[in-house]
Amino acid sequence: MNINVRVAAAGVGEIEHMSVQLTSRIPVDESMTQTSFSVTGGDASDWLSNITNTVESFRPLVAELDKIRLRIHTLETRPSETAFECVRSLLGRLQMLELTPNAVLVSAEGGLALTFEAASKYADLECFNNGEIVGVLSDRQGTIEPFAVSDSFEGITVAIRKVRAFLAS
Amino acid sequence: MIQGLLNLTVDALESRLIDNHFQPEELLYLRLFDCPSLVGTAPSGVSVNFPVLSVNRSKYSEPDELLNYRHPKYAQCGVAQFRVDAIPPPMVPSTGGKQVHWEVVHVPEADNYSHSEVQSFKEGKPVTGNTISSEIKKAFRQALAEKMTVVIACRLQ
Repeated sequence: MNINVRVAAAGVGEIEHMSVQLTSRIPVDESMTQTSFSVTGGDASDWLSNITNTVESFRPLVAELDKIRLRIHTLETRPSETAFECVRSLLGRLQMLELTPNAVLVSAEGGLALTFEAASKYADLECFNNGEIVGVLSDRQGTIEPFAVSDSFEGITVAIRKVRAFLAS
Repeated sequence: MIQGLLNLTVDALESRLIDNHFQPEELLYLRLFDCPSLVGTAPSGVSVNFPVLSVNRSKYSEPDELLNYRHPKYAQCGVAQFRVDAIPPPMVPSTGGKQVHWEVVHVPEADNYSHSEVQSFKEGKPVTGNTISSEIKKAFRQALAEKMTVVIACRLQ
């Protein structure tokens, strides 16, 4: 179900229009249960190479999660164990779907977020301390699309595919 | 009589101390606790608090003052800045939700006169709890972050 958000006049200056589309529930993609790695060639060694590269690309993110745990006493907003679980779940699914985030960040709202960037585009998936997941897509030109993510295998899969399609578009 | 005079004096003192005259180009400084962003780039929207965002204002402070008081851990934080007129315009869900808008308010503290807040208002009333939809919250945080520039990078290890 799409929710259109009307953005009213700015408090100062002329009226601005910021395109904000809210998606409270993402349609379920029938193909979302396909979890195999994409195989770019028929050669088995290519397939193995793809898997190895994907696993390697996630090592810095897992290390960053460990660093966050170590410096947690210095952070004003501490991620909960629920948020860590949520991010681990997202990372596992991202790895399967071969989409590598740029960074793991501690949210100012409490929680953790995975960020994605491609050219001028930005996306993130934010796990709050209560387990809620909310994502956002932005072209950094004024079009921002926030969306709720269902905390389920299917919901996370659809959200990741949404991010990947946006970054590739 | 004496009490009335005293109240007048207190009112006058408070009105002198609180300066809610913000020029559109005035800069607001936000402390960043976790920011891989480089100086000159925009931080992520996840660095933005909601529904109340604590900031310092450039009229009465410099960016690095956010790192130099209260707690030693702040020395390792970063700072991003944004203009007052970068605060996003009001948002209204077309499903019939109530309009949410944001204003910057001067909220001086005993040890930080510059302290201000970007506050959220729903139908004109300040919001402090979790009563605004997650999507509006996310849109606001991202829209504001994109108007920010990191001026001091984090050094948290």
